[in-house]
Amino acid sequence: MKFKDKLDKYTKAEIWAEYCGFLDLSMDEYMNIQFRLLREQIERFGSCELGRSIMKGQKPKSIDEFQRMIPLTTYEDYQGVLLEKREDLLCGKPVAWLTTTWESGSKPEKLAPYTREMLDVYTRNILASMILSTSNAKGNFKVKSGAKVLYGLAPMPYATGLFPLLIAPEIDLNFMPSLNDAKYMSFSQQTKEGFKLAAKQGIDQFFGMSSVVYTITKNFDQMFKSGGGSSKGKLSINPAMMVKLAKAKYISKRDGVPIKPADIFDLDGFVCVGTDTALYKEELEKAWGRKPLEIHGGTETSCLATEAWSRDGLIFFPDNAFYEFIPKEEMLRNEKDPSYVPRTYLMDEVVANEEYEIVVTIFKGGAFMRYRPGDMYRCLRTSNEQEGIRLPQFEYIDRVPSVIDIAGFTRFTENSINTVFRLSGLPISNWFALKEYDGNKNSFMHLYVEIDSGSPGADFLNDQVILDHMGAYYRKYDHDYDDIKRLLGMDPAVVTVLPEGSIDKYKASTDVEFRTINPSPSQVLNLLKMVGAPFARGGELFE
Amino acid sequence: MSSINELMYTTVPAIAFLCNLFLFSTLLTAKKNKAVYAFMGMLITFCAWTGGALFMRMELEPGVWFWWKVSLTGIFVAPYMIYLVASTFAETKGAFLKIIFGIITALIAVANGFDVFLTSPVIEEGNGHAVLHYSATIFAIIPLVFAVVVFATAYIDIKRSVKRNGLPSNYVTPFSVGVIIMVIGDLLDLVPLFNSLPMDSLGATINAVLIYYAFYKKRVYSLHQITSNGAMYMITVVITGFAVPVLNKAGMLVLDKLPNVSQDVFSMVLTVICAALAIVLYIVLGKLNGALFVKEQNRKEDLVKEFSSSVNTSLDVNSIFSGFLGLIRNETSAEHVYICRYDAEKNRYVSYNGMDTLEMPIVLLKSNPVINQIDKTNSGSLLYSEFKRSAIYKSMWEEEKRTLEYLDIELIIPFKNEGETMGFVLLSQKSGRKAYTFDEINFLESVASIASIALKNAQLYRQLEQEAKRDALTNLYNRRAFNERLNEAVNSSSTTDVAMILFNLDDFSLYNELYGNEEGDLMLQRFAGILTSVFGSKGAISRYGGKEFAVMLPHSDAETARQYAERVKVQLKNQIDSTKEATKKFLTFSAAICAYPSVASNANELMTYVNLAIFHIKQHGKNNIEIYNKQYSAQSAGKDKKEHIYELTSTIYALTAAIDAKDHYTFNHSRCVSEYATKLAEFAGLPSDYVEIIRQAGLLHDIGKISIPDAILTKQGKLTNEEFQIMRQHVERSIEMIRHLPALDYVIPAVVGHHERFDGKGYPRGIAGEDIPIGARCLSIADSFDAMVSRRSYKDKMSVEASLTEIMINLGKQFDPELGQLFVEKVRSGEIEVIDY
Repeated sequence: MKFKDKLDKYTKAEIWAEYCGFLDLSMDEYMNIQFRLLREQIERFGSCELGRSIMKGQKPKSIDEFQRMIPLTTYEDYQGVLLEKREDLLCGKPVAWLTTTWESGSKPEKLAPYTREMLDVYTRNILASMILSTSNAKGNFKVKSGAKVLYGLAPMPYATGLFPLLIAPEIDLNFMPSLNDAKYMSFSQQTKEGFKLAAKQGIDQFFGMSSVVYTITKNFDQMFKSGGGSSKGKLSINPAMMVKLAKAKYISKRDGVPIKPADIFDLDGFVCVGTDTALYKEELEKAWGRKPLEIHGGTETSCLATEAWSRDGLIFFPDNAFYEFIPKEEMLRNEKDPSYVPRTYLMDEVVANEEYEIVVTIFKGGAFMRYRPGDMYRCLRTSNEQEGIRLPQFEYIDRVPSVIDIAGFTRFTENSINTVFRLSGLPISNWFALKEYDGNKNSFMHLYVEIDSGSPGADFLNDQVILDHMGAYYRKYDHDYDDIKRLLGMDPAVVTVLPEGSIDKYKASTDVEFRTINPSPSQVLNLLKMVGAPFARGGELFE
Repeated sequence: MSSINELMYTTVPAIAFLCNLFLFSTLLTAKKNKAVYAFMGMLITFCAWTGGALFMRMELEPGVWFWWKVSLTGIFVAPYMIYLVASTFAETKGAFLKIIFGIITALIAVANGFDVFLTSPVIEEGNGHAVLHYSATIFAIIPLVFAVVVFATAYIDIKRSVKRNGLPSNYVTPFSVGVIIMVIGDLLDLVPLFNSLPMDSLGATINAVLIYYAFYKKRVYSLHQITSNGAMYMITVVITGFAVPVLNKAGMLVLDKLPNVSQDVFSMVLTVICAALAIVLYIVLGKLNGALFVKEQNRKEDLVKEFSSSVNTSLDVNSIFSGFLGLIRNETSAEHVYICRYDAEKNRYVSYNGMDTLEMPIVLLKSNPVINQIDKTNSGSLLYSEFKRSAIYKSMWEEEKRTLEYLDIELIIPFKNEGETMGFVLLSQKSGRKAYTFDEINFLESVASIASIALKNAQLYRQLEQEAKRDALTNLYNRRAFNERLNEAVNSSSTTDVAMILFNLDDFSLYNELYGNEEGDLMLQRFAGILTSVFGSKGAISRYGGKEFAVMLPHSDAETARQYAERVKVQLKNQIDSTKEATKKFLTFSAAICAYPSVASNANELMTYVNLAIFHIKQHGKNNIEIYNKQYSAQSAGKDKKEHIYELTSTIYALTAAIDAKDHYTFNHSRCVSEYATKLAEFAGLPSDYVEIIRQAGLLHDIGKISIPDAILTKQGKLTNEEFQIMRQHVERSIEMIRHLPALDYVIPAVVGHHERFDGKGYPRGIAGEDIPIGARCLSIADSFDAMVSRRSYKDKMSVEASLTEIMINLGKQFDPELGQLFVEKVRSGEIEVIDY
């Protein structure tokens, strides 16, 4: 039975119980689901070539054996099978292959297979998020057929592209633009066209990548006045919207304030996905009049977690994957000494306020076992008595420290930066990079480089030349690099040239390890001070 | 053409009226609540509406005008009554609108009495059919507008209720459709074509039926509530009461044409007709009621009783299942029915043979979430389509889902007893995929509950029967059951061999002594497990005695049996070798084999021969598998323990010589310990046989040191912890050596316990007080004393007095206080001489 039929046939309480009932699970019930589905996956995985190679021919019979026998894996462990799309070596027949950038890998992209059963779980969980996004209290939601949905999500074969495709057969929604039209549009065109339609017809629900939603919100007044509010196509504007538009314009002009989305749109549901969502949430709520519901996932991991009606912490779906957590200390120790095997903890073993790297085993014939997707979470609390939720709630922090994620679009790693330097032939002798934010809360990579003074043409290199050079090669190497500038109107990277030898000099002066990716901001400041490099400082100087 | 209209002219309002009247009557006996009262009020209004229309058309007394007014009052009051019904249906709070609408309705009803809205009708006959002539005044707009307002308010209330309670929209569909049909019926009356037809009455009745259904669906009342003999009487009285004037009117018409019939005769005929009508009506209603509800209910009750009495006398699980299955197949329209019962051995539920043809048996693990859900509910059933919408469903494996979905299962009814799910019945979707009704599920649960009790009894009986045949510890056959099986096999086999193997665990009492009875029991269970895995269902396996296991193999010769016994030996060794303990526990067995009829001529002889063979093996070093040989001498069986004790002195001396060759000190020490302990035992008044055992135990107590490396044995200086641990093993090593010597195992308890302490802090078992065999307590004192008074490579000898003082200090701690005291006294008195070496 389709979701739309259920809306007609069942009461709200019944629909809530079916889709969001997992929020009522006790920890034991939750773990029971986890253990049972893990057992199923071990059986299935053990029956295929890929599984046998990952599990080294063993079949763990208990969770202890599982943690002891099966190694933690990364994409390198799967690339031979997955990049070649060797379906005969998998434990489930894929019906879809999703793609993402492989920031630290030997190939530009990673591929992840999805079985029919995985997509069924994905669909149910996305519908649960949709229901929750329209709720303000437990059991109370507002989802209706024919709702107008604006979506600012990266299209297929990216993971977010599945959202509308999976929801569409379940309920008649008016996607803006229609899924058929969107097929022939770039992500940028799709976003702009959607916004235009929204300005004419209104929006009931908004699904978007946080960075895109935030950019739209920041430029709303400008976009609205130049696009959505133009006289062109005014005839097709819904009369109610026309009244709202006129009123918003009048008030904006009268009070000299920019038009906010909440002045025009009255959202039933608002879903945000992607890194840095937590950073934007408060402003998005002010602008749209509704707090966005954050969901989290990834290409390899499917839809992992959603917030509940209270929107203050991610709860992992129990049937998507088996979750293990590496405490930050263990993760750092393993980063320093790759031969060290970090300990993992289960969902019922996490501790509030602890930061963890997540490890997943995808259920339902998935291809990844004990896989480290490279995401960091903080456990906010292990239960929420006030809301009656007995499961741990998390906050997404960022990618693991060895990865710099920019707006959920692109990721920089030591490997990818070195590759670009190598391809571009830039005479960079030493470098480090960290994630920083500008005044508009946009994240960017700040790359500090030293130029090999002995190389020919070194004198002509400056920040901008290096950035341009890098950009040219990055665009070739990583297609998402370009999207950021087009969609968000920002450069994903900033370059600062340091005097040659600065980094070694600083390293020699300190006993504390200095990371190439994401060194601590205080270390960077001390380095800049030590070598007399300029850094931003407000106020007047003494001299 | 005319005939149709003529027929409809009175038939439609008559049917409509009777229908409303019937619905009203059925509610008289229903459990009343606000909703039922409101609905009854509405039905009264509809009765007035349709009844008024009917009687007006029949021009009954007191006249057309009266019935016209009654009918119109019904029509004008109907919107308000519908509003009240809608309010209760929607559970709307507040009385303001109800009061306002009530007042307006009352005013309209009063105004209607004065022809304010419609003029009085005139019935004219024309073209073969009657036509009603009336006209509306300008004020007729008032009740019309009021009706629109009232219906709109009711609609909004219901809409809000749907939203507030999160009800699906189709929940109120019958209600909305009914009102729409009623309004359409009213409007059709204005169309000239339908002028003579009472479309309004028809519309109102359809509306009443639909609302009746909506309430039933909302479970405001159940149909069982409204069926009783009382209700039937009442309906008969009401309908007959209304029929009397109709019959009277019809009779008057007939009377006009029959002038010869007197008024008295007419009255009498009319009375008889009315009485006959009442009887017929009552019978018809009773039959209708019986056919619709009661009969079916009674039939099902009878079935349940019949089933109950048939299964309660049965102790056979299969006949209970087949009876249950037959009943369910007859009483439901489920496409397929399957029964699964619990298989405790494999912790799963497996389909019962003898039902729908299944390509493969249905197997559901006990851990299946469906079973967990059934376990949680109190004997209730589980609708699979509902379970699929629960969070727990997420934990189902795809294979588990496929099994139930392939079988198209919709309803699962458990057999429960004291919270334990003994099995369940799986019912597939009904034909036409209709939903299982509440009554059906109720019936199935009742039957399953009866079957559960019968099943429990049958299982208990079977369990008791099994228990009487089984050994409690190993769950193998006991001696009695085995003998029965053996006799059966022997009696039924005259041509092929029946082989028997008797396994006797070697030195098992010693095993218990060393590792405790608990470990001993575990070992017995493990050994039983090995036998079960080797022999499976090839024969009968039994625990024949404490440490004896017998296996009977039909259609097998002795050689085949020997091969099996060899496999048992290998498996036992593998199991012992697989333990991770530092010191491997020892356990071997002696197995004797004999066959019928090739060797033994009956079952008793078979038993005798294997026992003789076992004795022979024990006499020749144990740990062997032998096929009975007629050459075995039974003479040695006559020897008693006492003879063995004295017979083996030469063996003991041979062994002590072996120690001497390796470590002269240990040889001397053993000799002295033996001497001291023997004396102590004599002074303690122990029997002479036991004193001899202690003497021999003293000589052998350190024989295990032969296996200790020289570097440790003769080390000068203190032993490291690791070396000490190796040294400690000499006790077990001693036993391993002694136990292989025929008939020497009687010295073992004393040897085993000579490092135990009286306070329980010793080794290897840590036993205390008089749990330590007395021989061991004597050896302990003697061993310590000799160790103190002799010189060692790493220490000088202590003085005798100092050594005795040390013993005194440790009385009750390391040493038995009485024996220690006695020993000290005898040494001091010179009765025990101190040996210097």
